[in-house]
Amino acid sequence: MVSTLNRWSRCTWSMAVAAVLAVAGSALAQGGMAVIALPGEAQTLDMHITTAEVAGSISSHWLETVVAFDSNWTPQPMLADEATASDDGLVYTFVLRQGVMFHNGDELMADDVVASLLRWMEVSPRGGNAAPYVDELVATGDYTLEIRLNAPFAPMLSLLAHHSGGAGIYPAEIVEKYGSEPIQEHIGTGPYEFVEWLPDRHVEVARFEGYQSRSEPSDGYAGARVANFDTIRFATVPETATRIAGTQTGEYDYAWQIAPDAYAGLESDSSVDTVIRQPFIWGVAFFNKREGLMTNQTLRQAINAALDSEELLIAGAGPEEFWNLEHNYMVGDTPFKTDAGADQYNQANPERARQLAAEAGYAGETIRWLVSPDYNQHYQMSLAAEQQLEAAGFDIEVIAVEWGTLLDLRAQPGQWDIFVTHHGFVPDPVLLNTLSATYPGWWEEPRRDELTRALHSATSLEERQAAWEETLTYMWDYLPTIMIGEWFGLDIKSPDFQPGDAATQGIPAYWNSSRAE
Amino acid sequence: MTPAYLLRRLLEIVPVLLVVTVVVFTILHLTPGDPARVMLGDMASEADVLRLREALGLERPIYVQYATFLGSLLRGDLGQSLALDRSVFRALLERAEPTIALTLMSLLVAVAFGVVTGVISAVYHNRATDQVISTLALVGVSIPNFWLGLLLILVFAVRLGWFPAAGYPPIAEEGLVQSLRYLILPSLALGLSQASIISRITRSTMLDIFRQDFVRTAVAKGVGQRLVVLRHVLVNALVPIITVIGLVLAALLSGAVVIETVFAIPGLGRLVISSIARRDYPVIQGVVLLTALVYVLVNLVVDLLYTVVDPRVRY
Repeated sequence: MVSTLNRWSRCTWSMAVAAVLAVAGSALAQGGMAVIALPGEAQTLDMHITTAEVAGSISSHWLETVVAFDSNWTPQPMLADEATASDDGLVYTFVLRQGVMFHNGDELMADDVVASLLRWMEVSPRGGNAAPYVDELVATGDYTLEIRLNAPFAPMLSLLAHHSGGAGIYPAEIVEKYGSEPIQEHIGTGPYEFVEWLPDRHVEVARFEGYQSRSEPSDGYAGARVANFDTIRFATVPETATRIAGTQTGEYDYAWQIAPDAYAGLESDSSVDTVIRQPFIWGVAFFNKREGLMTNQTLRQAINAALDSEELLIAGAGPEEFWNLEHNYMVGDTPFKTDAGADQYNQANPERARQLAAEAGYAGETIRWLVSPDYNQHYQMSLAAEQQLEAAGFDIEVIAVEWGTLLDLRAQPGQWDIFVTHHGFVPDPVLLNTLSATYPGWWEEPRRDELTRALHSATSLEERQAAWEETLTYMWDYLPTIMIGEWFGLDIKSPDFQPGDAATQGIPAYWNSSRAE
Repeated sequence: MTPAYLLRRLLEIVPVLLVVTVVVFTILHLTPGDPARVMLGDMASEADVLRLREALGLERPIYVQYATFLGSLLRGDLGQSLALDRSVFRALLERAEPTIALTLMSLLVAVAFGVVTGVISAVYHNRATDQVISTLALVGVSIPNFWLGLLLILVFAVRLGWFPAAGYPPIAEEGLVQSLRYLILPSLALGLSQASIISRITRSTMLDIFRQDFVRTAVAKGVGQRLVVLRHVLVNALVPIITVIGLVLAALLSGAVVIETVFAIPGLGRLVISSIARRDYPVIQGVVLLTALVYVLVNLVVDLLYTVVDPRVRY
């Protein structure tokens, strides 16, 4: 079976795009600086090695991928003009666009893509998902390359399109220079080029005048990317009240992650517009299945039976606009919607919990619940969960530590029984941490291996959907994790700031954003 | 004050800083958290973490790491940031300007408001003016400076639009006046609470001195009130006031951490907070050493100032 991405007629779409821009461009201000206020700072701007949203968002302005998601989360051409898979799904062939320039003046060649993807598979948690399936990755011409697999791997294009731990394409000499150490020279092919990173202050990017945009209309991250602003500055503003104040005074054009409790007041404030980002994240509790009390499946089921997810979501997010009861880890508008497993979700049944706990042989031992107050939603939800579980007869110790300490403790199986975090929206099950055997929680089980193999090797969407349904049903019985539900994000913006397609979808990016005159 | 005394005091800084390095190094490495794990993020595998730890030299024995750090320090090298791709010295230098400016402006606010209100309160003690000032001083001491900062932003930046809400552009970019404009609200937030302390000390010290015989003599001789207050009473109250100002300066440096976060000022305070979150050990050590050095030098300056304001003090 040949899986071929759409190749759109450049001539037709070019004329359409030109017409649209001629009409719309007259109302949009070109130039100037956009300031985006972020709650935190990236630890590194090397897209390959970090899955942090901030890093993926910022670096996506200068780094591009061979394919990119459209608004339906379908990979579309970006640096590649064509991406085809062989009938047996074992060879992916990419034909690159010609004349695409890096910010250092060099042309993008197949060797650059090969070097970048090899590094990505070595250092990226996302690339590490693909690596076991890849036999060879070779340039077959100046602008063509092949990924040769040892087994079909359906999520390959989704992994290549994603910006979190993403497969951004660097010049080969940069890859060679830095190896597996964090890349410090931020050179890509994107519509903006890196200018400076002043830690605790901002990252600044400037329009790349030599950018070669695609000609198709923009659609999600795919299609045309227009750098309307001369520069974009990503400012680090840790205090929520300051991000709000700065947007109200016009110092910031857009501010991320405002506390939902401020929504009512901001909705009636004419100096800002509110933006509800959905899908955004979902809350999840991981059980320690390697050591301790939670290796007992029946006890995990008992914990699950006691939880009232609606209360937990309210505790974490507040107003009803910002949460949603959802049992399916594949949230949002993806092809993986299903009700499988829903009957086990949100039981809020303390009696059943007690019964299951007794069956599990639970004798009142202390269950260690690990959480970081650095994330207020996690912490508030954990306090509510503690009350629910204690009402159901469990002895819960909430261990609240700052995030760096949590990462350390979480890596030690003897230190915790349940830990709480959130997971960002992902468009493909392969990107779920909850399916990982190595992610803390350690779902190391032959059945997991079978299910993920089926998910990855299925060659049609229908097969993958069926595989996901089976996986989700099993997850709600085996309970490696508990999906608490969805949380939506609250951003605010200046009324004249017009976010582009990619600004409110998944990991935000601000090409195609503009400021109305 | 003799040169020998000054030299001795300067040399005493060395063992102080040495002790600081040992204490900070030990505490940092005993604290849970791993720079490599933080840098790589949530999904990093143990193999990735180990690889980065080796690249950063964190797998070496701790005494080797300390010896390396100390050796570099003795050569004037504070080391390389684990996260910022620059030397610690450069990281500190980049952040020093806003913190120095903020601290000095806050000190000016604290001293100006504190001494003036303290003098007024002492002169009009037990009268309505004194009651008002004392109440305000109590309120000033009680209000958390971050809360005051947020209130100032709401009123003067958002509602009135008189000042920027956040940030700090370097003087080289925006000029002195414009850069300092960004620090007016932060310095008020930081300085006013310390002004309350200075005000109280000024008032109580001056009241003690008002009761002295030489003051009564000056009044009896017909010396004007202003001259009595400023030339006789305030001057003799300066020793404890200077002592408190020295302590206030220390409080301002630590308070700058919070205020820089509230106002998104990229100073040393924000640097140390983010470096702690990142477990960027060399930068944390650098900031703490610098702060310790400042504290020691401030103490020295305070001691030297005693000799200026009180001729009876000699070293």
